[in-house]
Amino acid sequence: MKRYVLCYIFLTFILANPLFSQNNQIESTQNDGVPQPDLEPELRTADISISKYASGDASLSLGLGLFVPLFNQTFEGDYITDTRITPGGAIFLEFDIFLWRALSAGMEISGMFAFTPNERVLFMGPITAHLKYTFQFYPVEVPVSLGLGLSLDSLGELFKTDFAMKPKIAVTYRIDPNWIAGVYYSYWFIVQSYNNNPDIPNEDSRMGNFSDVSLGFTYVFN
Amino acid sequence: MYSTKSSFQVMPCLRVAFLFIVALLSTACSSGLDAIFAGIESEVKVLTNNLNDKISSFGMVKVGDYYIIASGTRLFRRKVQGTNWSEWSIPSGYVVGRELVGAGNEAYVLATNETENKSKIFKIQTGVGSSSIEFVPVDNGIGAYIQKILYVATDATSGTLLAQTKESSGGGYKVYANSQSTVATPLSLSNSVDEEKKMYFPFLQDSAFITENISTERIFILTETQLYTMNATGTQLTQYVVQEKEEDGSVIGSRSGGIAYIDALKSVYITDYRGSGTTSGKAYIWQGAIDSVNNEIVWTRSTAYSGSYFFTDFAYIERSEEPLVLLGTRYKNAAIGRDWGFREFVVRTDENSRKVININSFDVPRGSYYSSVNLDESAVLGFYIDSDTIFVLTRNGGLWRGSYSGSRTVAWFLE
Repeated sequence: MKRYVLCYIFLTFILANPLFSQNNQIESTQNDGVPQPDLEPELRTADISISKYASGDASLSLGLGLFVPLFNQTFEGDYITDTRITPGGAIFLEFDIFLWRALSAGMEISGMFAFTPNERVLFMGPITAHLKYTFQFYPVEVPVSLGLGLSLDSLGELFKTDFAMKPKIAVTYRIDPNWIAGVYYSYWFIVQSYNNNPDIPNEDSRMGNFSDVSLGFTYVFN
Repeated sequence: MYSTKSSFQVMPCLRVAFLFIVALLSTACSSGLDAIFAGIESEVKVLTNNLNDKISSFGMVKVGDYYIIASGTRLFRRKVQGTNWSEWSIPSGYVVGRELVGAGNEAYVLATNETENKSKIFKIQTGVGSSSIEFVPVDNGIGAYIQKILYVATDATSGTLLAQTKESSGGGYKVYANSQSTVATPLSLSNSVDEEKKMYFPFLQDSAFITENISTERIFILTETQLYTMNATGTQLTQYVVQEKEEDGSVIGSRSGGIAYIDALKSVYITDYRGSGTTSGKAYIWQGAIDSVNNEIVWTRSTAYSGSYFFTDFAYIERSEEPLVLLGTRYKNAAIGRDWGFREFVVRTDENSRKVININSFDVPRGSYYSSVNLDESAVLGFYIDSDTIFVLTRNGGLWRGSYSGSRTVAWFLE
């Protein structure tokens, strides 16, 4: 029930957001009555192929979506497909600075919640630093990133910081020079090792594999 | 075309990000006594029956087709194959104490009358298929205030009842024993222990009966700090010192909670705790393997299992994956100031020597912490094993039923 409520709130927010208005800024500036210079065809082609980003540009992204547990792996290589974790909700906040053309570096703080069979709540909050390259097919962009960092994981009174790796791909649409919206897919690879822990046997170490699909938007500071 | 923007300084931002990640890595930590992902894998939804929260008992018995459990002024019974518990009142004025014991088709409950400072043993009469229960008082013949009874019956022809009383003078406890010809005979206790062997005990914890036919020790009686043996007829009582064959001789440690003889492994197991308080000690398990050839018991002590708890009881379930499984209780964690309750300890032993190799532990039932009865905060009073079903009796009024398949718990019910 909670998941439905969250989805409803998220969709309400998305549909009501002016970002998704068809009267975007690009169209209005192209039709403002100012005569366009009669450019040579070669020059127009060059204009289209250049990056929309420049060194020093920054972007801030926010997304909400569905968290999907996939499977666990033991360190011995066994797969546990029944993780007994329900699907849940996910959120991310991402900040990037463009280093060169479409290559950017940044940080991402993300979070998720899901439930166990006895309705305990699992929280994970990866904090990762990433490198991202944004493939541009104006107005569509496909950012691909790989993040490494730590995940702050808790279940009831249990808490652990684990190694986290988050590959991420998105298909986004550039609404105007500043606003981008799209669908984001993240793969969560969380290494939970209990090596040398006196209270927990090492065979309880796991590599957790999860994913999330989120709808989000990006604001580009340029 | 390209311009370097001044709104964000690239390198300082990257430095901050890098330092932040390094700071996080340097503070990586974990807390808690269970794995998160692996713990959830083993978590099964706890289902509840109609006994929820009503009982707090040390013992449970199976008599005929029924499970019986007693708590306070009530006695509960349900069919082995059933789910609903029926309940009866025990005789007026009496309250069930620690003990409900039984074997075969007989069960006895020890009840006390606080106002008259007396105790009485009631035999529970319940016919096969009968819906009624009768409480037949048994003349205990002692007349003292019985604290604990231990009924040890190994076959149809012999049995020994041990009873511990708190003496009005001297501040100690005495153990009385009775030998009888058949377990079905109403019990009649007497001071049959030789007067010279009658001993004052620290509070008696547990006992075990060795079915293997060795000529000397057959019955072990465990107090918190010492171990005694009694011969099979209940007439000789002797303090017993555990002698490690490979190491120095030693006695049981500062706090022992449980003793069990596991026939399938021909070994006696004793819990042991050494240290002061409950924060700096270590938990051990003594193992006494029966050497029938040399007519002796060979003792070895497990490596220490560190942690601020000690084991209080045993149960054994035979499984194909492990040569031995013992279920113990972590009794108290003083560091966080509360009882911790049920925890499963898997003790691995060498198949040939039966020597304890290591001890691992898991919280079970996984996820019980947030269930309606918080088993994690409840010390376990006892176990009852019936085939592949295990019952866990907890102090805060829970009776858990679990079943096993493979190497882990697959289902838990709150009765």
